[in-house]
Amino acid sequence: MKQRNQEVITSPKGEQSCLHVKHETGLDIYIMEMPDYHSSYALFGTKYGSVNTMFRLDGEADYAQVPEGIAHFLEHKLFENEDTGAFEQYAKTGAIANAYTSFDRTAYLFMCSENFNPSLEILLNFVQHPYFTQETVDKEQGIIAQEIRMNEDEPGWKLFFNSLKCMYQKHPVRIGIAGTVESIQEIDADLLYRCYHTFYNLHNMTLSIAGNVKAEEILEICDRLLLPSEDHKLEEVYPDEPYEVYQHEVIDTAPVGVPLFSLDFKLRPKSGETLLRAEMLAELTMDTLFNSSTEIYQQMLEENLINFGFGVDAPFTGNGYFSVGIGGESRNPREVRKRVFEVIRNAKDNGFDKQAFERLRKAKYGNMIRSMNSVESNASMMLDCYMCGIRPFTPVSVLSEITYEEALQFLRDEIDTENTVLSVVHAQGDEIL
Amino acid sequence: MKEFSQSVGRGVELISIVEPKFKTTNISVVFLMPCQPEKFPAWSLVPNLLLNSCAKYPTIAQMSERLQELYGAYLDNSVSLIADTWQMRLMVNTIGDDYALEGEDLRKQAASLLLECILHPNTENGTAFAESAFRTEQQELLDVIQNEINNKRSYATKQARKTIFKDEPNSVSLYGTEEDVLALTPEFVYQAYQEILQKAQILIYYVGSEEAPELPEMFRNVFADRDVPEICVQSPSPCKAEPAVVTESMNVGQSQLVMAFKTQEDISQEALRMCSLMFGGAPFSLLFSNVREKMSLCYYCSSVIVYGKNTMMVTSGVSQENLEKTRDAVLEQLDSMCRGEFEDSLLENAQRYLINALRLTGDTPSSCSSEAFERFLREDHADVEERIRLYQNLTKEDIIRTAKAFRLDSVYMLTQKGEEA
Repeated sequence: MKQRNQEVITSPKGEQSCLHVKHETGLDIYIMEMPDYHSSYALFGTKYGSVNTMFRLDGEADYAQVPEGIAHFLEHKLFENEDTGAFEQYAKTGAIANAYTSFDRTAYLFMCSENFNPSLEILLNFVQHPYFTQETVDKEQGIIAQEIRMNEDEPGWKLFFNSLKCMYQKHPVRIGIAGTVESIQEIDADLLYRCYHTFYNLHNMTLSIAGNVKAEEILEICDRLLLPSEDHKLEEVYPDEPYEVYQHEVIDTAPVGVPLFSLDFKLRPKSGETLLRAEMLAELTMDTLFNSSTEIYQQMLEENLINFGFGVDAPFTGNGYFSVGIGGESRNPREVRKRVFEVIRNAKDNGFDKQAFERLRKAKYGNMIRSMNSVESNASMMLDCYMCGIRPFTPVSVLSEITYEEALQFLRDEIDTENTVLSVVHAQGDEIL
Repeated sequence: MKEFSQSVGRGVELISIVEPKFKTTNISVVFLMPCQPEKFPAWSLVPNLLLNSCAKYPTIAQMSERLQELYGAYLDNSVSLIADTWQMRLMVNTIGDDYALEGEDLRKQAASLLLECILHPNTENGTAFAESAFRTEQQELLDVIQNEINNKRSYATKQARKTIFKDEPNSVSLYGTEEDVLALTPEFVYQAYQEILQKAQILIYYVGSEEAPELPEMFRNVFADRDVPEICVQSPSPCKAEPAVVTESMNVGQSQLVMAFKTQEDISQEALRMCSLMFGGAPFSLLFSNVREKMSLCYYCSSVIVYGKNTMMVTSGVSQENLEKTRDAVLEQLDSMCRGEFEDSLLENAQRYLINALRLTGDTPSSCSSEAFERFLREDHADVEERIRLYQNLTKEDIIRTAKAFRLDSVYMLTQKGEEA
């Protein structure tokens, strides 16, 4: 058997384990064998998303500044190669395939109950063999323009990006993932190749697989199909982002029913395990203060200030950005903001319900167990951990370690009511109090 | 995986699905009633009134606290129409007992909680839902109705259904109008619930990692014996003599196109599904490859079969100036299908895709109970492998015959304000 740089990683209570292989090409491979399942799920991801707008490789004189939306555009175009498209190839195996681009990553995926190995070969091949021509680039612009229009008609999307634009003064997280109808016109085949060769380097990528698979077979396929890759020492540049938000409030209109709002707290960015810990503290603390068992929730509901849509959002984090938000629907979002601030200030001074904190920690543990039920969640968990620079299952350990005292300290040090954005989207003609 | 079914009362069935790999416990109670569209608004209020509080946990805060104690268990519900049958599903989900940190019997506690909700709701003297809970839920439903406009694709589909299924229960909103909801009272909704409780056909699904010997006892005889009502899950929709065309305008950046095709012929569910999959249900389908990929008209253009209504719906988001072009392109693709102008590989690909998807069943608790429920609806016991054989037996001729049987019934367009097509 081939000697490999590999280790088995097990969850703290031994519920699950996975294999991590550092492949000789530089690729990090994570495999979770789940033999009792029919399905298998594979993700081939790169640390390349909409925020990676300025970069250079070791030895390059100038930084490249690329148009907004190019990572997403590249994701669309990678599905085509010279002879045939990836979807046509997947049609021969029956796999259900897709891809997504977010702020900090792009991932190509498929799900299947049979023909896993041939589907994996398709995935590894098409992602490693780009083929862009001006003609195919032009053709894609119409499709992506419609995707952008679809997103613009989505009020939740509008609410979120309006808030990001107000929270971040310079960081590219403030731009749309798919770019704009105008910015995608600037994309050409050469630019796509440059971005591809910069970010689709196996040292910057991961392959994450869970399900009814055999690690040895996967690794044999990887040995055969992964192309040798040299670490180019990618250098990314992010502008210096001030601590303060750019603007405290943004009100917009769209055809909606009840006005939507989000109240986002801009926090100091962090990375790795420190970020993971901070994310959990942020979410648990805010949840303890505002979940549906709290007095404030009950009171605002009775006063018709909020409805059941009210709640704490999962923290929004990445390279150079970190925020936690509360949102929902309200006919008087400014009053909701006032009440939320009062609760936070009071909790900073006097502490908060420790029992509630423990209950929510228990509930979060339950959610983690629940997500282990599914092959998709497991593969996604391993990919997420790679993207965040932590080992798989670290979230379970961190959750068991954090304490009420730490959460209270986090609230006092990090949650700043002076550094928030209230974003509202309401119907034209509705008055926002 | 083991599945077994037992009666726990006349007209009440408990279906247990035991799959050792699962780390959760799911219990859902399905109530099936013949359609009574005038009661839809009242019936829509029922599930939230039952699950957000109950006699034992009479406030949302108390109920939330209880769920958090059960490791973040959640109570969920859905209300839908299956042809002419109204369905309400009430569900509890918690982690498996093996994962409880202090050895708690979570399955039993979760089942008790669900039963508390169903049997002992939060009422005023047992004759009406509690006033304050009722007002909260009433307002919530009003908000839901107002918010239907938020998602343009689903809004367009919902509006299109009014025309597609004109004069049928499927044209009516399950929520009713704001006026309908405002006219409801706690007494009326409670009575409407009592009718469901007494008359509905009830199916209870348990999905967990081990057998649950306590469940039959817990559920036995808690529901009154009933004669199972006439359940209609196949209700063919008549096709209009001339296609209806409806246009609505709104302040949107992208127009929405919904087209409905109906068949009046007796065609198997398998043939309908396969035909729709090949037409617009997958990335290798005719609509995806031609209307999106070749013509670059849209980001999505896809088709689905409306269960029990012999109807295929196509939806697409396109720019205003391309609405007509997209509509013509969809019709052209259906014509080419009718003429048999597609590669044999299209059928083979679709068969592989469906078989692959069907074999994924059994890997999530919800797919296990859905599959069992679908078998109940079809009134046969064909398991996944038997159904796969039905799909494998379909020929190109079957698909051409199915495509030819479809007639355009309705076209709905949501256009940009001031620029109606």
